[in-house]
Amino acid sequence: MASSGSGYDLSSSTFSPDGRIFQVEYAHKAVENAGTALGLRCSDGVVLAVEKPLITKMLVKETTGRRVHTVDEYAGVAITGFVSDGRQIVNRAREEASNYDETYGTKIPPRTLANRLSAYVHYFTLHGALRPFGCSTLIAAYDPATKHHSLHMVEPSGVTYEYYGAAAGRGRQPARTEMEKLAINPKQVAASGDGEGTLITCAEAVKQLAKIIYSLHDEAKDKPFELEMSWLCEGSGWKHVGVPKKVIKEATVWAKKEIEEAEGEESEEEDDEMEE
Amino acid sequence: MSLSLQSGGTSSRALPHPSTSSGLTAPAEATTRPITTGTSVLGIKYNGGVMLAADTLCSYGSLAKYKNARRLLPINSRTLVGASGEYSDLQSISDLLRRNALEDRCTADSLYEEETESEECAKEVWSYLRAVMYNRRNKMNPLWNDVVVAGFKQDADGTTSDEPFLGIVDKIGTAYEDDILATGFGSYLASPSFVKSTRRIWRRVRHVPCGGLLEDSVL
Repeated sequence: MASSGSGYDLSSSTFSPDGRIFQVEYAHKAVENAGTALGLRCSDGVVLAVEKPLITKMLVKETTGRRVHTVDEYAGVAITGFVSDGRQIVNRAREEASNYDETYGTKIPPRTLANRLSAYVHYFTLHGALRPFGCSTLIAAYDPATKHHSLHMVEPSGVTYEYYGAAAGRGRQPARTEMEKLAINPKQVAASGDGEGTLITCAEAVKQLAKIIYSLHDEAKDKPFELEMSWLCEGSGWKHVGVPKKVIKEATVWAKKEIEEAEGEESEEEDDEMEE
Repeated sequence: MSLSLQSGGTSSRALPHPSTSSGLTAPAEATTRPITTGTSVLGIKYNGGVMLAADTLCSYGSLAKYKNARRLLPINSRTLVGASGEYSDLQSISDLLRRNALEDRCTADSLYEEETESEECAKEVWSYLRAVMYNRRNKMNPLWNDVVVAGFKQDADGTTSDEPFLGIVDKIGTAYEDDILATGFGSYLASPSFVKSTRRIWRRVRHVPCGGLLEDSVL
């Protein structure tokens, strides 16, 4: 439970007596209440997925309120939280990527891009006159020089880590639990499998992410949503592109079926218990 | 009348600079002559597309300095650009156009590969280059190139049209569109015989004979 701010939460340039900066924690809250964003690093690429709540039926859903953005040929970001804050970060990412290429003649390495954005976001946490960004950014990128693809996430505090699987937003806790069950961590896969475990592929990840998002979504409570997904993988030439609509549709159908079957099994078990 | 590099070679056409220069920062110079140059680029439309040809030599005055220099560069899936004249200016133009192409890609309406309406078509690139070259000319600091832009136009709905496009923009910002184009010496030596043999029938000339024609002309 967060202790009461009581005067130490008015400015992001003030520490509380127990060493917290409340404004940054409040910024995190803004993200925690927003649509879920997920990222998975697979053997052959990175997949990003965002649950985009459709706030009214009047929205033209295909183009407005985009959460996933291309920032460079081989890099894309997904944002969740205050999307307008997110737009700032996306624009900065594009500038950083473009600038790096102009200066060094090569595409910005993923880690460098993540660090640059992290420094940018962090800057807003130490000025009294500015407020922190209220959004988390998942960065999927490929480095053509080293041929490595990776997933990073930048949080409102400016902290950034590299992930096998990352989640932000409303459903991040259950999402993380589900993601840990997937074959994304090479060490775990090598240890657990009978020496033949393989890492998840992008095609499989698309389905699994769709399933996670659909299972987190409560038909009764939450608003209807659109699923935005993108990937950069061998199949796309490592370019950051949207997952083809056909593939998303198939994944959605599969996901819904899986969820129904799982619910069906659960209710069968309950019936058995009741009979006893 | 200093001939030093600092004052831009022959200083008569260099931009005037304040006489009380601190000496620490060099005054801004305008391009007065090309240094590393490429020669002709030839372009021809044919049935189904457009083809460009250029040699891979960049000369340093009378020295054949860079023997494997690319002077034909793709910009996006619809546009090809080739230039003669100052090679560094071509590289600068190429960087500029590629930066624009990347920005178009990033800010496109759609994330999906199938929908490429965000890409500038060849005619748009040509028009944009015209504005760039003319602007530089007006500042008396031209990009010293004759640029040939080749590719496809786009239909009303933004998708790539079947209609090929071939245009040229020169260092003073003159923009011209035609079925057969050449820059530099090519316009004197190759074009006339080209034009004579193919102008009226270019729509019927197919890919392979077109390539042969161009190769012969370049050699």
